[in-house]
Amino acid sequence: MDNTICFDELKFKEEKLPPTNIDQIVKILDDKNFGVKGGKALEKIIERIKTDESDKG
Amino acid sequence: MSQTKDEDLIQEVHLTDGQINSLKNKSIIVDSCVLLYCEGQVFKSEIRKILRTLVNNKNRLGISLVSGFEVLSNSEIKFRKYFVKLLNYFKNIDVNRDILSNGVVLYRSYGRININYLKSISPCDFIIGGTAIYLKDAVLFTGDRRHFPSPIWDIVATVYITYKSFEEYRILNLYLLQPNIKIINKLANEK
Repeated sequence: MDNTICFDELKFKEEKLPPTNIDQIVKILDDKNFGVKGGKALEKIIERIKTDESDKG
Repeated sequence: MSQTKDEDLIQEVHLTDGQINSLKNKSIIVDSCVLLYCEGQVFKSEIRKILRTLVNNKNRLGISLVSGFEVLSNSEIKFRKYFVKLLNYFKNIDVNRDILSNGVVLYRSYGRININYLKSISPCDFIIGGTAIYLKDAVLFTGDRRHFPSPIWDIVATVYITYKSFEEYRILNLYLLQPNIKIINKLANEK
């Protein structure tokens, strides 16, 4: 492998990611203890979203 | 200050699928912000539907290791164990010298649009963007259009999550974006 960084051109790799185990991802997301329902913590998330939205150029 | 009730915050959610079904057989790089939205149960269930749809259409999901860093350093401590498990079910893409080079080229192209604008963007976003460029034909899944702007990033699909908060309807936009290689090269190499 070339041991230098080239800043002048984009580099690409022909590579497909491996298949995703979506069932495991869904299982974690479905866990009732993961994530806040409401209250201040959710308010914080909404604030973050609002910041992203208002930041749009 | 009066205590805020849960139901005052989010009362309804509607997911509008904007062309997401047209995406097939792609490598999809999931941005940190999409994962962090999962801290809210109401967003988590909608993002779950989107991820399921993408994978049902034979797309494959990955994250930059930098996103792992961003998620674990920005999430609530009590949810870290869930995020660690979650992050590991996405293909973790190492940051290598080619991806860093792509990040630098991307940084230069952004600078041609507006040099002051660069200050508001985290270096992590350039590495995540550089990762989406590196994997040929990859698509970036993000909620952060400001840091992945046009004309450098083209919209492939948009998903709107409409929710009601404080009696007001609001929209969370999520985007599937593809790098415009021609434009990036042109901007980055302008004298």
